[in-house]
Amino acid sequence: MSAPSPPSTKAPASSTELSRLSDRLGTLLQVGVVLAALLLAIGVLGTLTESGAPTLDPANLHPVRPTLTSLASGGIFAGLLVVGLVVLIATPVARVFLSLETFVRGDDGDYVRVLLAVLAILFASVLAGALL
Amino acid sequence: MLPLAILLLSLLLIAVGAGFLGALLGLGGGLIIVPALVLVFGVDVHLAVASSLVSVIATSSGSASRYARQGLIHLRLGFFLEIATALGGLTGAILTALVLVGSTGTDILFGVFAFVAVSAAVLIVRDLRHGGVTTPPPDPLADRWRLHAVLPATPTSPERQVRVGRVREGMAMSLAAGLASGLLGIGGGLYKVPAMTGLMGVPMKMASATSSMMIGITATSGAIVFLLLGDVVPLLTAPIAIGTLLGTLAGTRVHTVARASTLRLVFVAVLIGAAVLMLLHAAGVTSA
Repeated sequence: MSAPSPPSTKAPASSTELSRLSDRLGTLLQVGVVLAALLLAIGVLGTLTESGAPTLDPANLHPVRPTLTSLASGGIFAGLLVVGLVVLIATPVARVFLSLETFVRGDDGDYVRVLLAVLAILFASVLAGALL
Repeated sequence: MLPLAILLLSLLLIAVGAGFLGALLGLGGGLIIVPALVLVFGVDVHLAVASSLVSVIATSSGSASRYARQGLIHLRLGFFLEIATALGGLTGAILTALVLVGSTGTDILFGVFAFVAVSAAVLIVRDLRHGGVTTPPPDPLADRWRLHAVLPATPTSPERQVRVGRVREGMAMSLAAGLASGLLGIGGGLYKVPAMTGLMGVPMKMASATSSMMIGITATSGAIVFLLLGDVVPLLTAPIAIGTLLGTLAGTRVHTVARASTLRLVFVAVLIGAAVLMLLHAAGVTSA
């Protein structure tokens, strides 16, 4: 083995890259959460104005697996609520992809692997939710 | 049954309160949202956990976007530990949604909640006396994965080198944080922040910023499972997510002003009260 590597935070190129990534992540997260909140708010307000508005009895709720037909038949505001939730959940995932792109460009194999591992776990979540 | 508008408004307000209080103390609102939904509104605990977990993502994105622009997030460390928190979040969500069901399973879930709420209370009280950042021994793993960092300079303090250590221990505690997140619908910053400060030697500001980003992926790994299984009820979750986000944004703005220890003690009392009520609820003493 060679001598222990020096404190490795001092690669100037990569630290500039990282701070640029940090800025872009900040913007991405903000856009995602604001968009999701708007969609959810419109969905809620819209639902309230619908004639024959759906009821919500918190003590008698049951899980209902979403299907394409149930999503299509739910009306525009119910649809907006689902889209808002999906945008909310997709925002951190998009953040992983954006980071991955930066590390791929920077040819940083270690962290490409780290981020791919994170994505693999998220994919396992999709499989678990869909198949179990 | 309450009229829909009143019901949604009260969900929103409770979430604003939970987010606000959580942000003041550097915790998410999940530990308040879940018992509020279960004890006040009679929501099934599994659905309450699912709603809370989704709202945790909103909180994370909202606060992490600000920290990211300030350059306070230790990205590499966050990504590295996310492997553990996401794995824990996925496992926890599967446990809550599919294993801890039925009356025995639900009782176990209430027990786990009470345990975590009380341990949160203990951590908050301890932090009142010594909120210590340790200097860990050198760790080759931290060199290998380039986990050392630089804390940016502020008007009051110069730039600072951060030497990270105890990587394995930090990973283990992150896994536990993820597990608690998926099980109970919380962010798990409760365990991530002390893992980074107390074990790995990361300064408080950087640890809480990094944790706030990690929480997004931690919660997402579980939320995907709940969403696809149908445990996320959109009309219940929407006002909670919006409310928690608004409360958190307001809370982070006054964060520096109000760090009164009385507030912490109030929060501790709320947590212990919630733990006791959840246990009573599980034992069938109270009915919702």
